Amino acid sequence: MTSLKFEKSLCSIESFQKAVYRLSKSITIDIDTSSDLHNIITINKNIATSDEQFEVSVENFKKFVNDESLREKLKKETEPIRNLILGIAFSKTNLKQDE
Amino acid sequence: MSKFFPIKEYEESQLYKLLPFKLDRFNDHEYIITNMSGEYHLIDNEKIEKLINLDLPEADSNFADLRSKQFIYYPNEKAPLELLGLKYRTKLSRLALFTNLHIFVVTLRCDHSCPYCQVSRQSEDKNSFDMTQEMADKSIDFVFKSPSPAVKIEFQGGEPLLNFDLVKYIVHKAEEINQVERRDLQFVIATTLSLLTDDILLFCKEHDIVISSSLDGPETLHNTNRPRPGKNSHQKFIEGLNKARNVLGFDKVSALMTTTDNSLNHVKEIIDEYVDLGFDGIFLRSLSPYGFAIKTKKFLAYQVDSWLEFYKEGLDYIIELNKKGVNFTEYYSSVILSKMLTSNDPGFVDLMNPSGIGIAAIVFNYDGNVYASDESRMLAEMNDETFNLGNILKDSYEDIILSDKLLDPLEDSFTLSAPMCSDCSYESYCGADPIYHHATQKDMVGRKYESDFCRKNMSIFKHLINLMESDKATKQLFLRWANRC
Repeated sequence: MTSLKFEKSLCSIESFQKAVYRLSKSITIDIDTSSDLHNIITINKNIATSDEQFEVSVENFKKFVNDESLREKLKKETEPIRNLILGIAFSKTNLKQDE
Repeated sequence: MSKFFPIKEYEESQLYKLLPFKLDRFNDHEYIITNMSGEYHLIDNEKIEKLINLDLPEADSNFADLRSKQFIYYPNEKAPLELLGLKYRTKLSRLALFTNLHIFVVTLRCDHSCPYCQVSRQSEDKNSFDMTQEMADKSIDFVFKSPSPAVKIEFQGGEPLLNFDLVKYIVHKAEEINQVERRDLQFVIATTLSLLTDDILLFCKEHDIVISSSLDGPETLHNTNRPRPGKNSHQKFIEGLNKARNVLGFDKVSALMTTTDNSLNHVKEIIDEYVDLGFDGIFLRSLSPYGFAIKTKKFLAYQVDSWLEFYKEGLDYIIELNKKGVNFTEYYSSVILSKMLTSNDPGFVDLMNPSGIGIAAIVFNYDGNVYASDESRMLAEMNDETFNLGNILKDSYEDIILSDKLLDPLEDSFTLSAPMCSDCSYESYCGADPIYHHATQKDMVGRKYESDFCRKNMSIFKHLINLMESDKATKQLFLRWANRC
């Protein structure tokens, strides 16, 4: 078992959930949201996980949380343009006249 | 005095904007990012945050590529949005065409007894294992209810040549209906060739029927994999192949191979056999976790890692052959490369999203049952009727196509909303395979973190990209393969 502290303003609860889902074969997590500034994540080893696998999983968990945060930022940033592109993709009218 | 303004005059004064893309770690030092149409780009770890934070300088070596591949754009540009929209629409255009491949299982009887075969029966009992004319009539009516302008009818078994009278009946009837329907109608017979006769070939010639056969490798391997009375399956194949090519034409006969545990150490010999027999490619297939392959433990005889080694060794060898001037393709790679390097989707059922079950291919079984795919009927042989969509004798087209047994798996397994898949950079190359995940995990969505389907395909995607990125000649070859589908 090991605990990590993440700033609330930088990482969402969803990013922890998505990161741990990828590592479900080796770890589970508990999320403590009681602090105003930080989320405390306790990482637990699955029964069949070796110490070595656990260390790698903890390292990967940190990386995946970072990746998820990047994805969230990207998704938020590009949401309007994604909808516009989908609109263009599925519109049957002349695109230029739609401007 | 220079005729042109200095380069500074052409620099954009405004900040670039991001277009939607997905990201994943590709290796220890690079991320892979893919845009909405599936184009990929590799970018160093330290630059990915800069890119997303809009801090990547225009002078960066990635910048021009990122712009030309529609990962970023300037706010005053409209073309990148229209291009992405067009590519995305092209990629999905196949969906509107609906079901193209219609598989008729005209009999389960077979003269072979392959240990990995999912379905065949060594029985002479025609009444138990042959499709009836009434079922065939109803199935043909169903085929022409599909809105697809192109309709392919594939005869499978068992050995379909054991019920060739019904094959003839279906061909005649479909052609008659098509005189009014005017579809692009094609027929394929999937056969081992062992029972091929001159009369059958003449009929195939008259009706432009294509033959799809099976070749597992050199004689010893093929005969071990495909036992039949006389232990002469390979010899029968060669005789049939030559006869069929003579009558129908060289390119009207193709062959498929199945990888068993016996094949794993012989990939080069298998490929050589295909080259020697004049085939222009091979489909390096793994065993599916269905039917007799599981019952006889053939599926468990080797793991995904062993198959991946087999595939990679084979692919290396095929690339080497091409560099020596032998024009030869690995078809599974070619399907994936087409998804990676073009805006087309070749419509390969296992790698489609939404899944291709029912809406790309559908199966009319010998007993009248209609299944969502070939794999679904194999599951049914193990008494799992999850993907039995109804019976052609009593259910209508609407009952079958709108059945919850089809719509639920299509909706549940949709990769753009499936955990892990929805964020995966390789999503547009991959597919939803609810049947595989139901068969292996009893979960149609699939727990991708422990899915062999995911592991196998991810490994192939990365391998193909690595090969392309490390060798220009391989990239040229892969571009040719991508554009052959």
